[in-house]
Amino acid sequence: MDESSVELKNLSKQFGAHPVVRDVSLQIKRGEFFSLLGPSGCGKTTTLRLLAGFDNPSSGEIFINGSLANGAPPYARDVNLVFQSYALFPHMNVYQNVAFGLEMKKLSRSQIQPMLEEVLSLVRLTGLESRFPKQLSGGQQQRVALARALVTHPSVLLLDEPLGALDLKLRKEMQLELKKLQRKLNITFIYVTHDQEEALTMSDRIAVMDHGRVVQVGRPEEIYEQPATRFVADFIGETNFIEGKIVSCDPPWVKVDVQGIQMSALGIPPYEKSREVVIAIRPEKIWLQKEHSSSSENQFTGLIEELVYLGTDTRYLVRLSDELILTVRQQNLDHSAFRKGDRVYLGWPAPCAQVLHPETEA
Amino acid sequence: MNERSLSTTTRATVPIHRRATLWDRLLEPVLGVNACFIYVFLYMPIVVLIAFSFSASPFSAVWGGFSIDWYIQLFQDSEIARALRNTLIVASFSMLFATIIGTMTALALSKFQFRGRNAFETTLNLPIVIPDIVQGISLLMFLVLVVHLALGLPTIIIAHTVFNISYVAVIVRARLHGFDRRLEEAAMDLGATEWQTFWKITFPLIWPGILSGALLAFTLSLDEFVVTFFVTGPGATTLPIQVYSMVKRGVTPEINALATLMLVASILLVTLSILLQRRRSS
Repeated sequence: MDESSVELKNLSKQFGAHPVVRDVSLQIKRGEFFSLLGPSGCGKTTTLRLLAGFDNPSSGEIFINGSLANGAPPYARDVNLVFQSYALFPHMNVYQNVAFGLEMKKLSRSQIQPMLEEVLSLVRLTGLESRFPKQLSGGQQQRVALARALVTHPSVLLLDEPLGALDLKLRKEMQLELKKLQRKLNITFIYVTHDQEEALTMSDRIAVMDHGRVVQVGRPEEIYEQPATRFVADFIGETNFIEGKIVSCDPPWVKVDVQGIQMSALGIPPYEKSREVVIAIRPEKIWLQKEHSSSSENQFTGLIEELVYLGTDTRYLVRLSDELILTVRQQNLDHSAFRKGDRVYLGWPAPCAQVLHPETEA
Repeated sequence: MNERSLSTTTRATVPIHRRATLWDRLLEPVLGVNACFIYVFLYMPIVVLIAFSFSASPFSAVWGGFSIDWYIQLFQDSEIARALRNTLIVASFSMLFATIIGTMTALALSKFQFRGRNAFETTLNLPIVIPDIVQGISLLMFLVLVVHLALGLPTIIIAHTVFNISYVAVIVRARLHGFDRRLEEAAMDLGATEWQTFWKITFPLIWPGILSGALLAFTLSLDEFVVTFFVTGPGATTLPIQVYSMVKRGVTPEINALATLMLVASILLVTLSILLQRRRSS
């Protein structure tokens, strides 16, 4: 209990009759980089606003540093928010913007000066103190917003898609910079994003949200390798979904019949025979070769229908039967790639294929 | 920059392709003359008024050479001085009250969602279109028969505050329309209370709107006649009422001088108000 920086218990928020956040429970550890990931409208930003204190939850509890924060106004909470639009004060220069939080804490000018210098060098803005927000580039504005939120040393920093307005290259740079910064300062970061790659790169743990609910919480590799539901598998990365019927179950293995083709996959719960299930398999886990492999169990033949060259790798659409086409990604290690119309052998190590939990109705 | 220059060139090339017909060629000078007539119609009376305020002749419509005697006489007229003092008192107080109440109203309307908000907003704008005479009669009835106030400067101040609130609220509201509410959230997030947030963030960003509303309120109060006429009492003569009673005794060039000065003052205040409204916040 002592370890958790932020805890949400059965948190719900409704706007009128419309539920936006539904029964969200999370425990976020001190110093953790925690992401709320989901498509727009999934309730992630609302959850963040509830944490910051801009909105009050309809039900449930919020604990910040172990104490109940429900009803506390934003200025009484030890959390700061970095806004998606930065929300820099247009009538104040960089110095005044960043010093705002310290002035509100009634610190003297001589106390503010060293703290300001420290944070500005941390975000590499030294020398721009007298500029006004509109005189700065997007990336610089973003760093001012970050400095303004960090300078008061909050125990939790909330970030609402802070890199959304930057171009791709700058975004990649800032992702690494943010991560480094978070490690260095050891502040809890709660990061809202709809960009799965961003969440995978930066987070210690991710909560995937859909329609106001948390669908899965886990480390990036858990979320990617063992998606709990079809939604998670579909939202994060590319996935082949194969529908079939259970033939036999030998925990943890499940044998599934897909239009006459038998495949084995990982599936923990005990499944009854002939039940309809969905198997998920990532395109890059599937191997592709011209010769029959003698050792593999999950091995099939197929016809290359389409291929898309992507530089580092190539994406193939391989037809196994009339209604079963799989996407396969292969790294372009040599030039002996496959051509359209080739007959190929393909397969995967059984643990890479996973029987998904049936989707719980919202 | 590039886009703008591009669009002007396309606009400029369009008429070349369209042949000017005979009808067009005949119509063009007619339109020009028409425009001239409109300007003469609108501004000639004012120009004549200003010109005769500098006439040495004691008769309004006879030119008697250039002089500023009427302006000198105007400044020595104690009745006019008293009326001017009353007018400035009424304008200042009604501006102050209307600005405070109107700004608070505009803030509440833009910040909160409450039942009947749209209805409230519509009724708030109503005094702008309600005929002055209706407003004058209703205020007279209300202040005298219901509130039992004696007619005088206080009743004029109340009446002017009433219609000025609408103007201030509308102008401040327009200013708030482009105001990013997240700035207030950011300030509160960084530890500012509601009160600190208003004075450090909201007010500095919307003050041109507030000041512009205040100036308009002052200007409207300065030359308000109809409503004032109903709620004025003994000893509470404002400048427009004074001019009216002077005109009843005959139009002298002194009135021309007074009207000219009022015109100049109004134009200056309204121009200032418009400039402030245009001033960008960011």
